[in-house]
Amino acid sequence: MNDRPKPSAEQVSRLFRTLADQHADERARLSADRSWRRVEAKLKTREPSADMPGLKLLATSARRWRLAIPVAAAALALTGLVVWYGGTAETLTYTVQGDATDRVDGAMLDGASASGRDGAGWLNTRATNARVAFSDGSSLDLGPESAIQLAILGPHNAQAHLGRGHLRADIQHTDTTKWQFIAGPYQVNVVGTRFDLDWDGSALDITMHEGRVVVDGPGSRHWALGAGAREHLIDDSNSASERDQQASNSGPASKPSALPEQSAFQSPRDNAGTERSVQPRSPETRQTPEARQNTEAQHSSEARSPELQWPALVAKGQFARVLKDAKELHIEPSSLNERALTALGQAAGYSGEPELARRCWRQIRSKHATRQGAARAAFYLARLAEQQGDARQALEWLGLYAQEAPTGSFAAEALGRKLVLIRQLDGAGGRAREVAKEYLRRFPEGAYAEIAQATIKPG
Amino acid sequence: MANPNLEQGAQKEILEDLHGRILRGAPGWQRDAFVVFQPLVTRLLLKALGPSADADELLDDVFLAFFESAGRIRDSAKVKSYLVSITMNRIRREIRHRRRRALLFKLIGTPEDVQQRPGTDDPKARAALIQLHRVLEELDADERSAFLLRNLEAMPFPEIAEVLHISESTAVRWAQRATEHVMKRVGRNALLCDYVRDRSEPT
Repeated sequence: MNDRPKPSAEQVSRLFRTLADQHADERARLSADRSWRRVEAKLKTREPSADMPGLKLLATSARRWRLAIPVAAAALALTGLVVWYGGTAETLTYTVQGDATDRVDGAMLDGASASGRDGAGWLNTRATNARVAFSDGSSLDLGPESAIQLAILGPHNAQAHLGRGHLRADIQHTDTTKWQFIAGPYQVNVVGTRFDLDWDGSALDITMHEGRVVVDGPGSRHWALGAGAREHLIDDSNSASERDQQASNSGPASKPSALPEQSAFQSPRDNAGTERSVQPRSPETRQTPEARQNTEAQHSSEARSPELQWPALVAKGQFARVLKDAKELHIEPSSLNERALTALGQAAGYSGEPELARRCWRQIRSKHATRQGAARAAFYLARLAEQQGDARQALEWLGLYAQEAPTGSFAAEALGRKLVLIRQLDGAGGRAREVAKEYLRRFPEGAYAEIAQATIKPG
Repeated sequence: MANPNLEQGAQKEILEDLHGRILRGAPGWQRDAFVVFQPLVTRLLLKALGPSADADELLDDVFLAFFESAGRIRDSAKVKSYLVSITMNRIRREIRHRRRRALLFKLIGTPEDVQQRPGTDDPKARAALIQLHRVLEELDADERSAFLLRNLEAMPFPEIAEVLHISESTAVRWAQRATEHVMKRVGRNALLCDYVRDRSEPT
């Protein structure tokens, strides 16, 4: 009889974990290269569809709308459109749902579809709402008695002229998204956001739900609006601008929405009170000078504090917003701290703005330079140099990174890139072999293990 | 992650860089993501399906699904949990599929041919691992997933709830039920009990 006490759950779990980890890690290590070659081969067989953005748009759109509209009908309509108009698969297309008519001939448009080729017509709504659903997942909801003119300018680029009435825009963000909404003398520039517009011929109301927009108005004036902001702009040719700005949790809009409340119109954050409001910057504001000072201070310290906001935006992949902020505020890299510079450098690097990225990383190295920050900057400078085709410069930066952060986050990548660059410059000779040996010793399972092996044992 | 010993800040930095490259569609991001996450996915698959499992197809499925949809991940902090979520979905589907197949084999009398792969050089450890997995195979897909993530991956309950798309209380309930079952079965196996105790005692 075994009279020893039974093991605890913790003991069993720990042993099980140890044994399973040993086994799995061994299997993972042994099979890493073979597995990648297999996955890569399968990936290549799938690439033709992945390279057709139009089809991806349809697939994404279908997923997004599967609960809201009949997917099959929409997909068929959009696919048919692409074929019918003989356009490329990249053309933005849309369908009209609801009680809308063509302004010219009064024809009912419910269920009608259009593409960029002929999509510049006016749509009118009568007593009820209508929706214009786009193939990239964006949508415009028109209130009753509204009129818009649509012009499709590219795969993520369109212009909507609000002649009168109300619309709610929900624009899907991509790095290349560029929409413009025109109402009278105002132009609302959008890269991905959700907001309401009301235009009665003399005043424009904007209620922001998500994202941010920049409004260009008469007299070269601009308003940058973030989530939760509300703006009432009056075109009286005297630059008058009334502020009706409230935090998002401060109650309903002063002007009731022309659209009945629908769940689709409710932002999950509308009532959460977590969105900040962005104060307008117009010099014509009717606030007292003191209030204006306060709001401007709040604006600069809270709403647009780069070191607070930009890292979070970069973590969410919103690089374009970081760059836009920097441009709108005319921010020079020399005025930023390391945290903001890192975010701006990453955003610029990922958005194809190498010059700005380089300035940020150099600024970090020359001015701020915590040890870790300086090393990280060296790594990104190496990457930029390599992208520009300057292998020698890239090697210098990689060398600095290796000196400053021998066990840093990018140590494996840096050594791997060094190997690749040396092979490019000098071939797989003695210098490359030394680096390859070092790489295999330090990172036997790394991404560059294969090329390191090939360097040591050519053929 | 490829290197679980990396400090949290370094892991965060790597994931942020990877996320940026995913969103930009930078050349080679799939390979980099594979290098970073292949050990994790392999570990989850083998822990869930046993040391004898041929997990190649599943591994491929997981990564192909990830590559197809990774561009939709909005937050770099979610990259890992998104991949774990895909993996766990595949695992649960596979467990259910295997159960149906086992039932079919039972009915038609065809034995399921499973080739045992060596788990470790130590025969006792190998035997213990196989026996522990037999106990785990008695659990249904949900409880097995919860046990795996909680007891074998030490994942906090909120994270388990997120990747399995269940409430936290459900995650706790599944993991508790699974642990009770495992402990009951281990307790009846004297050899396994001895082995666990021997390995747990300080040397």
